[in-house]
Amino acid sequence: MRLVGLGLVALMLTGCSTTPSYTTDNRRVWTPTTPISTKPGMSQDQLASIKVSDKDCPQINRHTNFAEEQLRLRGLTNANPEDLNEEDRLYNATARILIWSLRIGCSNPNRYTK
Amino acid sequence: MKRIFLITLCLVGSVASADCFVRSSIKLTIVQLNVKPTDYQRIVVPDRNGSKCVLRYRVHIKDDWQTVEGIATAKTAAEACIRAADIQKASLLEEVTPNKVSAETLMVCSDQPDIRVRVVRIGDTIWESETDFHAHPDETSYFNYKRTKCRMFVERGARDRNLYTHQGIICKMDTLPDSKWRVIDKY
Repeated sequence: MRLVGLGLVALMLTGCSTTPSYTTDNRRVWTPTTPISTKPGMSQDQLASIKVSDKDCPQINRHTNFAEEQLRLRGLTNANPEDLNEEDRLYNATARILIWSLRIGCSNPNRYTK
Repeated sequence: MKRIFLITLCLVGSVASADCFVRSSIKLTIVQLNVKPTDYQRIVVPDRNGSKCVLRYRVHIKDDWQTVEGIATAKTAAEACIRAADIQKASLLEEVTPNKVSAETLMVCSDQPDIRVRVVRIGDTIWESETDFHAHPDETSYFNYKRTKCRMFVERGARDRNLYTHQGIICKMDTLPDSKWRVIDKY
């Protein structure tokens, strides 16, 4: 299967809700039962569980806006990794890998074709 | 007045500085290169035959950036620089280390900025070869983003007794061969 990005995951809308209200490709990939983090937005684990594929390209703006919103909620919109602690650095990297997986993969559909 | 270019035959190894290289006899071929040459820096001076072009640029061989220098003369500056860009007639410049300098060694120095891999920040304007290529084979090639040529990079360093690896995106600022690049993101 042709992958769009690095292959992380399917996006979800809220990090602390009891039912997932956002999925990609009509797949329900994560069902949180209890709040995991006291920080706003998705937790690191939730963000890292999101996988994207070329099927997500028609909704790229929605997906990237969602990931950028998670960064904004954490105050990481224009963050430089050198200025972050380890927890924020990992969260920032996870979200940005997701964003760039979509941007690169959707703009260059043959990039990851073997 | 800015010193443009200095060529010195080095007799002793004690005068080596960071801005000097020894001109290697190693000849390159285009097939040795991982990517096309980049980061062209040119100096054009009048010559009895018209113009002389000294062209320095960077090539990526195996896992490392190297500096290459080509020199050519022609009736016009443009023609001289086209000839100087012929990699098969160019010389690999090797950084000077004292034990490499000998009476037969030709050392070349310049006050042009020496390009090295360094720590970059989002928004920086840089030479392409100031960043390393991404280590993952799937991520080494260039890609288009908003009609711009871009690529991923990795940056390795140490902080607080920990090693870290950051990656990021750089994009070329225009289509000219000597164009600089902009750090778009880093994470």
